[in-house]
Amino acid sequence: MYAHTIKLALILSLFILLNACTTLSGTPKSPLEFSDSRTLSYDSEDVINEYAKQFAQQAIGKVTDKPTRNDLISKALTIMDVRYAEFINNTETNRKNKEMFTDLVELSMNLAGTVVGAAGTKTILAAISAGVNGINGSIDTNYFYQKTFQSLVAQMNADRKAVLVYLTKGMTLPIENYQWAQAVHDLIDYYNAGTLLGAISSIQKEAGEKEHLAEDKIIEIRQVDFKASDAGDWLENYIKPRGFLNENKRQHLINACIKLTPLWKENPSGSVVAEFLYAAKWESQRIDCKNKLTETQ
Amino acid sequence: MTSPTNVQKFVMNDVPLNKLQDVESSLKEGGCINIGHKPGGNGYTVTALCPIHDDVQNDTIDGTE
Repeated sequence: MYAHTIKLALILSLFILLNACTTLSGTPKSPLEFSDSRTLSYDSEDVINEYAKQFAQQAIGKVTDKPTRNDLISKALTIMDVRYAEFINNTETNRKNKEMFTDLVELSMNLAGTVVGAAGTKTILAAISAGVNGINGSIDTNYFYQKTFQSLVAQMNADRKAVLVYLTKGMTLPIENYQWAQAVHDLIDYYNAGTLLGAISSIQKEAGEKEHLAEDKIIEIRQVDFKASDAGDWLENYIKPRGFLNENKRQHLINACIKLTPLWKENPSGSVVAEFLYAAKWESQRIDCKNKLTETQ
Repeated sequence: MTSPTNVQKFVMNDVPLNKLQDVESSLKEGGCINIGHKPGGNGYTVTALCPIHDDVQNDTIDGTE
């Protein structure tokens, strides 16, 4: 009885492992496979069989007119869009199925562990249960980055649209300005944009560019020293009565005081109020400001 | 205030502990980001990235140009 349970558990674990491995390719099935430089094979599923056939027959040929070029591009886009939709749907479905199945097996193992008597058997079942859980976690970590799959899909969609702009713009151009070779190049880019690896690469590239941009935008470093003062405390209470910011008084302070000082032209930034209230170099201006505001009250 | 075009790294030295929160909240109210502090000198050094506004040079006291 115990041996039978253990065998069943092992078979289930192996099934999960194999099932996971077969479904997590990381790329959609390519509509075109260049087995060598001269031979083109193609997928022939029913829904896109005819398009794929026509595309395959002419893809490595010489296309010399705009209508033929555009017809082939349209068909290739259709193939890729169908494949992409299948890829997204299948990957998401498999992910959910895998999670559910893994949870069920883990639950079964834990339940079995509670009903069997021998301590050794319990240990084995618990180990298998942990192994199943570990497989699931490992696959998720490596291929789906936990819950970032939707972000990757969003990135793939964005990248595909970006390439689609080139393709649709190219389709409006005469054949000499958008030759078939260039169209094939863009179609390959379109395919690559719909892969997980492409999305990850794109995200990394964008992150690097944004970091670089952020560094470029920091055009100066401004250093000041703090100085506590009665005038500063008074002004702070003026714009933050009872500790809460009064936007009108803050704006009034900026208009009435700070713009009269060199500070406003020297440093028209988001730090201007903080600098005026707390920096040592503006102490005399703070006192003037306090006196001016006191007079107007 | 107008839309920012560039960013300034703002550093205030020697901020005492009892004024740390006031300085940081004032920077936050000014639209500064990445506001942080570390011990140094006679108190804390507060740093922030603050937007620079590029069309305020001709403003007058009442906000008109």
